Amino acid sequence: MKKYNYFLTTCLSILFSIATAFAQDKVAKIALTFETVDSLHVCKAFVTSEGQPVVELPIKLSVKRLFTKLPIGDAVATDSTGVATFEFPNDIPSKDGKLTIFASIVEDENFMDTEVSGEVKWGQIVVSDNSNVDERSFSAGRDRAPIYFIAISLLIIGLIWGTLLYAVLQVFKIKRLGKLEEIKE
Amino acid sequence: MSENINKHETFTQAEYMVMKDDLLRPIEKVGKAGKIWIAFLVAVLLAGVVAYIIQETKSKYVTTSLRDYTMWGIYISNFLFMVAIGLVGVLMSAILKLTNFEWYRPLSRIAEVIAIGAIMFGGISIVVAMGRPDRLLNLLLHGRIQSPIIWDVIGITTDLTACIILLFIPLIPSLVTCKNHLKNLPKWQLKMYNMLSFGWQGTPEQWQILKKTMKTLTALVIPLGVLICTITAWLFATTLRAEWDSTNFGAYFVSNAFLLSVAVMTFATFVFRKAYNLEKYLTEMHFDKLGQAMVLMALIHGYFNINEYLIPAYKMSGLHENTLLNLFVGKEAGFYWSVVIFGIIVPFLLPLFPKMRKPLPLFIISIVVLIAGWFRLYLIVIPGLLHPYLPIQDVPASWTHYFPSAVEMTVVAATFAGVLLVVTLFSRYFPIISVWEVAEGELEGKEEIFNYK
Amino acid sequence: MEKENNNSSRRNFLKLGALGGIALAGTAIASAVTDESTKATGKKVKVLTADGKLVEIDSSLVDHHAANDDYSKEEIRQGIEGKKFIRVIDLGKCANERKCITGCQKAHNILAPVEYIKVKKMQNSPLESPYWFPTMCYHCDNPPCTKVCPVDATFKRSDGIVAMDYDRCIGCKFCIAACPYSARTFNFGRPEQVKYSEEHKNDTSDPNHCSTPYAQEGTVAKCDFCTDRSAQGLLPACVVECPNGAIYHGDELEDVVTNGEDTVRLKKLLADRAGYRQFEELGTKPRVYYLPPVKRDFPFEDATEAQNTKE
Repeated sequence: MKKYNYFLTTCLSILFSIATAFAQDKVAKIALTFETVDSLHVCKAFVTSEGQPVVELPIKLSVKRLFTKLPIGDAVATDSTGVATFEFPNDIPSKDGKLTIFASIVEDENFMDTEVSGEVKWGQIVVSDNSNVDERSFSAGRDRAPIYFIAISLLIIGLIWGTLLYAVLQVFKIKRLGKLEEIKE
Repeated sequence: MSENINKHETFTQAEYMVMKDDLLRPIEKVGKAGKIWIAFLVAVLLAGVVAYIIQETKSKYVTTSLRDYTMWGIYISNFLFMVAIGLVGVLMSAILKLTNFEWYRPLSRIAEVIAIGAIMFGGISIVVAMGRPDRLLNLLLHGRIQSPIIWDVIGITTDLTACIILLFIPLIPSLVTCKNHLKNLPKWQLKMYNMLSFGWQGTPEQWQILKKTMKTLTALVIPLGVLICTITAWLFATTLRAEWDSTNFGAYFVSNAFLLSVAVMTFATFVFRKAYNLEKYLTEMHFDKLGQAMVLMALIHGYFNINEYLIPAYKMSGLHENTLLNLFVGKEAGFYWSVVIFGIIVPFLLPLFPKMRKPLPLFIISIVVLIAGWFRLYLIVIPGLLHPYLPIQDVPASWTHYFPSAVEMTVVAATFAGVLLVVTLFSRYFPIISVWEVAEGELEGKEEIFNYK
Repeated sequence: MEKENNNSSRRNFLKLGALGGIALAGTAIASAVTDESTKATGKKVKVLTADGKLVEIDSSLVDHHAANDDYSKEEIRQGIEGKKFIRVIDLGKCANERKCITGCQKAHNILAPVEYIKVKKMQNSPLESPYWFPTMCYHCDNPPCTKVCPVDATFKRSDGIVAMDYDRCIGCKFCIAACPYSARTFNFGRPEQVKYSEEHKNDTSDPNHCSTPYAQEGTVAKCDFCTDRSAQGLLPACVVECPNGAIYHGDELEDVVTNGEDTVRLKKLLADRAGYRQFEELGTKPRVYYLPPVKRDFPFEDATEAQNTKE
């Protein structure tokens, strides 16, 4: 029974994908432009297909992150001139200020999935705060023990071992005195 | 100057001759019972070595009962016990000496030898508990001074060295006595006495140096001994676990160590008194004093126990509830209360009666206290590990409880045999009671003097 | 650093020398130095020939095993620059399906009952409803485990990860005692595991495979946030395997976390959903946040049987 079900779903999905592939045969081109007006970042995606602007097509904007892309707001449909206008937030962090921004058409009825990207310096520069790793502390590595702690430890160890050394030297002093005594006798 | 010194280092010849005969007798000949005892200890020690080899060559998952939650088992609790016992040198030798309690004299060397044996095998217990003993050297190569384990390593090696030097220095005059008065011994043994006596002539200058060095070291081992006990407590107190998260922990461990020290001293004194016929030197007076010390130490330890358990129990915060209820009324309750009764109430109450401070009763009490003391440390380690903040769930049955495996028990038994062996062997080759210290004590103020060189 | 580089080159070179013999190595150098076809880096390194002479050759001629020398190890101890890995777990989405656990075990080639990630049933008080609580190493910013390690075998990296050096760990288990979250596990050398580890030493077949090996026998292991995968921008096995998307993994500096499907702003998520850290009062500053089990996707169903019971 299960096998049969599986077979059926496979057939249906193949049929479905053929149908949608035919529907999505149109290719759309996206051109990305970036501009900053009054410290407001605006990103425009101009969509054309066969030389004509495409109207009412939802475009998604996202920005590249380490693992995945972070979507910026909801999809925006292109206007009568074929342009989708996005207001880009200015608080997207980046190491060097550069951001890779993607505009894409995803699962549209008429157009094939497309994606273009552009790099722009719109990121908010973040500095990695490594103070908890770099600072001298009890949880840091051996070479970053707190100075006062090393000093006190060495002082205590030195004092104690110094005393022990002194004691051992005294024993040898006893021996020397014994030898002197022997000579006297 | 020399007159003043001479008075202390000299005593009557007649008395001295009797004394040295008594005290050197155990070295002269080893009885049949003595030989059997040594053979027994060696056998147990070897069994432990074999068990350890089995543990290291086979999977520890099979040979030990250690699991992720109870990753410290009786090896660690035994280590705590050994360190606690190791404080006996501080209490029975150093503190009494510096505070001029004259009855320390025949006890001091026994105490120091026990301390050395215990600290040695405490250190060994830690190595036995390690997952990778082959990487021991990493402690030197990569040691982090911030880690309490490094403090412990430094503390234990330092304390051990200090104790050995402190044992050796007052031994020098005794070694001359051995050399001069024990003739029927193997040649190597006499040669050893000669070599170790470091040309001791008993001159006033030598005596002066000896006494001064002894005094310095005696003063040094007190903080050292207390320190390693406290660092051992810090191994636990520096963690974030509720049951160990206590500002009282160092003091609690030290007070426990003092109580166990009195008990182990009583135990050893009784055994040596019987085995080597030393009734004249280890007198009933000593047991009377030890009994009184036991009451005091039990009282102090009881006080710290109240702070450690009853005050958190009064608050019964969510963090402590887990462990405390388990100890008071839960699975571990029978265990816990027996330890309280036998480990604190018995040594506090019974020696209050003079009859209980006689050798035999006090000996029995000391055994009870030692056993209870061992389990008290067990109760600090294991139930603590079994009650973490996040509940233990969905793990195999063997992970949720702990009962030591045969291998673990054999190794722990071997550490005990090891300590006893160190003490026994020492007493077979060196005078276990310091001849000159006892003589000096007995002769205080007498006119008739004889330089015993 | 230069010096270390030289050392490792020298070591590798000596290995080569031992294999090829003195004469062969000598001619190899002679031809290599003059050979124009090799792409020279311009960086000269000194190498010691087997007969004790110090020769300067181009660094490209020296076989360099990055994984084996101290230099790269030191790099590993530093962490990936400019990253601070972080995790958010949505307790409302966890249904205790244990896929994260099995996925993690597969990715690291470890066998049950060892679990780097565990799912616990929690109930804070009788009137509150129970919930499933996935826990793992929290990679704390103030880690109590690195504090107590005697040999620097566990350490905090600049990218937030608390890592383990299995080659250095002496197995004292102090870190296990110090961790209030019971996140660490010890390799006691369970025979099945030893055998499995040996057999799967080079097994990287799992699509979520994490190259951090399982702890050597007698050392401590724990969740490593799939260090090498994170470095490449690949999500850890537990995140990928979770069928409900309960685990969000990401980078604090990028202010983004993702469960593979949804990618969201970290600060907004924590602010909107009242994110919290477990046992904040201990001061460990975990890098794993939880979203309270509200708006649950599933009703709480108690586990009918214990899962991880195999000894």
